[in-house]
Amino acid sequence: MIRSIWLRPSVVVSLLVIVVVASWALFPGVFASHDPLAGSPGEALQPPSGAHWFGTDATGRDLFSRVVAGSVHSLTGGAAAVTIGCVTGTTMGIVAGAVGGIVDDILMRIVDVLLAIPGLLLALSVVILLGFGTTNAAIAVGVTSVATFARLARSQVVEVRATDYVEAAFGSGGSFGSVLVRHIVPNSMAPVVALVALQFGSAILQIATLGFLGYGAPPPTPEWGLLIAEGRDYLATAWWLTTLPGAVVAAVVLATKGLSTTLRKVLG
Amino acid sequence: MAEHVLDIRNLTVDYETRGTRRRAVDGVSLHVEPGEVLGVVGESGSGKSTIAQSIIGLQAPNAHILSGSVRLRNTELLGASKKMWRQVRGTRIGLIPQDPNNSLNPLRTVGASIAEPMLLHSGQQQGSVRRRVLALLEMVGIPEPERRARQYPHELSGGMKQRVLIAAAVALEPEVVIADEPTSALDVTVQRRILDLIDDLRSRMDTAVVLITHDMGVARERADRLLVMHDGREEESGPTREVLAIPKRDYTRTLIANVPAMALRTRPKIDVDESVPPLVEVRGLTREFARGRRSVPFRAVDDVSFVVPRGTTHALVGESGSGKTTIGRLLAGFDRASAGSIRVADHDVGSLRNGERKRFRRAVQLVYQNPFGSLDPRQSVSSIVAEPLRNFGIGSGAEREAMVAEMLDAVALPEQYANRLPRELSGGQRQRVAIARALVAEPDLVVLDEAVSALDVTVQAQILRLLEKLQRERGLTYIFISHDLAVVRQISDSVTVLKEGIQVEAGDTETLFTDPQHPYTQALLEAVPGWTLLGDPSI
Repeated sequence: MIRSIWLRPSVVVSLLVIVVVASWALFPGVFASHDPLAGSPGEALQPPSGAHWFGTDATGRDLFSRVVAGSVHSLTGGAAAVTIGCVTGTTMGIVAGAVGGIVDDILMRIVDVLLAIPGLLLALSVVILLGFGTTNAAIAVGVTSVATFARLARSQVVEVRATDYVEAAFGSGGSFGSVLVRHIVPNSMAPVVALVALQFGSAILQIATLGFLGYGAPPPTPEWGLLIAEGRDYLATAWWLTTLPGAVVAAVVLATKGLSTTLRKVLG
Repeated sequence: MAEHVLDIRNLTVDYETRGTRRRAVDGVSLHVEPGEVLGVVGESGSGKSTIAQSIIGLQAPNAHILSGSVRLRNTELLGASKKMWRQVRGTRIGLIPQDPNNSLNPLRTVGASIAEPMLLHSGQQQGSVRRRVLALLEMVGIPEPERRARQYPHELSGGMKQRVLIAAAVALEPEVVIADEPTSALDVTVQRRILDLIDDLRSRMDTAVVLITHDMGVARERADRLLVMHDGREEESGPTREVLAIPKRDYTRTLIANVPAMALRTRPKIDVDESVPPLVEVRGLTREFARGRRSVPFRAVDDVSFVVPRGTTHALVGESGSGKTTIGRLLAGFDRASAGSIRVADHDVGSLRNGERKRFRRAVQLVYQNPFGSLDPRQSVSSIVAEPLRNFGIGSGAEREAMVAEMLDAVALPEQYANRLPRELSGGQRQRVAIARALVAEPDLVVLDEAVSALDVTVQAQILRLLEKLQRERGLTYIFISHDLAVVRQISDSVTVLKEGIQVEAGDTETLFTDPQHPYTQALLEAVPGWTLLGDPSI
């Protein structure tokens, strides 16, 4: 069954998208045909063609090469954001669910506060506090997903804690710590792994949003959100400047979503 | 040719899962006459429920009916159109489902649930339907039908819900009623009343009943004819008395021999040395649960006392809500008593200090009812059994491995199962793993909380024999918690009968079963299916 799920067309496409984008990030030189930063003014605002797959921007830079070069920013940013969110959030959730009582109450009220603030607003506030830049944008996006991870991890831990096998483990002489590590955490983590994949996509989207609003990487970094923002001025005459990077972002987000669904089925 | 109400010929059904096909029913034929009860008996996986589903056209989407015919008088039901099914279901075939607790729509009153088939099929007026609903509720023995009809399912007990479902099934006086394990989710005394009710309706309306059950006792008591199923095939069929008296097949013989109510008590009387203090001493045990701020707390266990000598089995018997599981958890130290004391060996269970708690845990082990929930799904069998050794720091790595292998051998699990995960094992095998885990650290006392209730009779009999063998070999003491009096009679030396947390009767097993004093104990004994027939020489 596991094999057949990974061979479904939607899953194959999702995996393909992620593999392609990951190879862009790892080996940009292999895929980019031009220098992402150096433009040739003679070739400004050319539509997509054989020489320039995604066309060129106002200063004649090859858009495809810029998208390839930007993938590393999006992927590392997304990965950093998810790591921050997952590690802090899941730890908070496990502690809250396993310890219970007043610790649970305090941690979960903090989570409620985090959830009450709209994600983008929270990310913007964090960026303004920490300063602009790719790293800080990733941290900001990570903070917004802490609450989601904490809630999910807590609900899983509470559920697993009530099972007979956890009580049986205490009955077999297990201490709180050993039962937590051996039984509760391993059996709680499957949905968290699926959420990592899902949050990875939305972190990329949020980082691009911050870039688009000018809170992320400064120009001339070829960050995806920034690319779309720069192309906005030419929306009427050069559609490809916004549409094609936008399509890449959308494809990556949808692919991670598909992957997350599959992971949940396989692990669940 | 005689006119059968329901006539199934050569029915063959396959299930398809992940591209592989498995035969669930293999060329089974059966027929029922008006006013007759046909008992379809078999263990889980024998295909009996698939037959029921095929009769009423509600088989699972991955079921393929390969051949055969299902005729209801002159109507062929296999391959019938949706429209035809609508005319048959409810009007000509009624279904009494297995679990009353999730078979009623929680958002509708029970009156509306019963009225639904009548409004759909008979085109009667609202007023006459209402009167009929009340008449039906009265017929199935629900007091105050007017008030009950306006209530929602959550306001009714399990037995009442099953009565409502029976009322709905017979509302349009169907020719055939299919009862798919109608009482397996209910307590014995309730079970008896429901079976009486089905019997009564059958004789009053001349309905043909197909009674599907895993319980030989139920079938023996209620069915006119039996069909014994095994692995999708018919093992044998015939009049109930004949099948039970002279079973033709080995499988039928095993099935009958393994029914606790029909087996003879073989347990020898154990001589207890009075000079040795008992292993377990429970005095005035009470456990209260708070319910809201103002009301009086709920007493789950109310002043229960008993002693258990070393090497014997003491049973706690009662229906759901009798407090027996609460006592088990108190004994294993998972809960604290509100009053009274429990002493196990030299441990006062109410006041265990940290260091002592660990020694106590090693001395007392609990085996749970549900073997599917009590094993960590991510750990292999050997690592589950090794866990107590690791936690209590017994032996070195190699020694532990040897002890686990020895323990698996003692519970008769083949060596190659050591590396399997719980989901790769059957229910009986999982329960063996749970027993191995409980015994590996050599406890003094094992609390068995409904440890065999979720298992098929033949598996149940195997586990009971295993428990007896281990008790003899290791000098174990058991507290055996069960709702099943027949099993209790087989395995225990002394019994406490509980009702709503109060101990109504206690004593030596043989005495209590042959000469019950309390009316509740008598009622419980009479309700055991097949019990009253025990002394009947004609069977």
